[in-house]
Amino acid sequence: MERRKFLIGTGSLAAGSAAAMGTGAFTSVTANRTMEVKVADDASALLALDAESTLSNSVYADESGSAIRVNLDGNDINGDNSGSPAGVNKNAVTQILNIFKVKNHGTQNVFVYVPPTSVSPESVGEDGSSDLYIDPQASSLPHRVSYPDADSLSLTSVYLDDTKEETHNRDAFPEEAGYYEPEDFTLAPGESLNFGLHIDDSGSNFDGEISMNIAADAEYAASLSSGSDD
Amino acid sequence: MKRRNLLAGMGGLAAGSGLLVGTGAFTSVSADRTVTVAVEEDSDALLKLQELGTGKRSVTDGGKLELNIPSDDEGQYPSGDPTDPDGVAPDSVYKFGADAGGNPGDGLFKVINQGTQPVDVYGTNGSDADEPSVAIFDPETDEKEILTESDPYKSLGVGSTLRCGVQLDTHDVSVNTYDVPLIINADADN
Repeated sequence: MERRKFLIGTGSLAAGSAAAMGTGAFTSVTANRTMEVKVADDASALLALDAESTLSNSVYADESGSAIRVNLDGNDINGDNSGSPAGVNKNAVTQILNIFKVKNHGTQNVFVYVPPTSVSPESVGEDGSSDLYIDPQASSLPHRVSYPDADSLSLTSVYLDDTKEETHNRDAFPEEAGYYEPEDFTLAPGESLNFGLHIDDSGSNFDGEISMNIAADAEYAASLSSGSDD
Repeated sequence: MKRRNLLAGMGGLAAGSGLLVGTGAFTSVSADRTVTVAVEEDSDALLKLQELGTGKRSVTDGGKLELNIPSDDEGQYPSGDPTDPDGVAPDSVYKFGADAGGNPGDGLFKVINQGTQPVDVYGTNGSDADEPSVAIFDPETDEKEILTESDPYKSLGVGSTLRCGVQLDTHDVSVNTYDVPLIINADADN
């Protein structure tokens, strides 16, 4: 009687050119790689926010931290310890332009905007429910074609929504007479615009912080120069 | 009557010359088998990772994909009038869809499925809380949503390529130079 020998073969984890792969491919791969990231001050970043002293209202910019801030609350702005001024006028429209430069330190054209929904608290932004309304402004735009006589254009008028699929062009504010061209807000590498604020108070007692996102998009800028309309 | 030899077969890494297991139990077995593995460079691996562009934000170092933001050559772009940035800003979200000097949508690196089944591709953030967080996205979409385990790039076919961009989030991150992980995952559909 012969003994039978049975060989049980199964697929094996063999890789390399000579091995035969079984029916199973890899079930999963997790590849751990590394990246080096440099975080720099706002003034020297890829999208630089820099309160150059040549700007007429750079005194309101606070560059003591790595992220720029704007202070319109007194705090010894004039450096004379007088405690004055302490804020903006009530029941008035105050325009403070040329506070800091927004510079494109990247390698492609960018479209610069402030998403209106990023102005926080919402009540001082497009929500408009507060007696204080603040709108970011841009001046010294290198490619402006709209309203050449206006001191500044609103940065919340032409913007990309969250899906980045649509641009919106609201009534030009504060002109409220028409629309801007997206090209107005484009910066080529090395170019900059001056950031300012339009403040409209109708009797509020606001005393606090307002934040907003300054955004730059290279892909939308590229679609403008190629003439394609997304 | 011939005796039948019943072979208790079981799946296993058995590749020996002949193991006869009868109906009798054994107390213990220790079977040494071998697994052949070849570790390959990224350019020739089951999940191929390939750098894109000439601006050196993505490079291959020691056979492995590596990213540098800003790149070592960032100070040369754009040619003729370079801008020479020092880095990304704090409290920001930066998305990089291309190498320095590249076209938006090109991607920083490619993921190519050299396996035998379609896979879902996504990134995992391995950074500490005080470091820039890292995510990957598909730069060829409009929304550029980041690819996560619950919302990956689905079913990258065998032999197919996915271009990837990188998103960095620097909220609550101080000015500094960081080495952070870039973790790329590919899971077979089933």
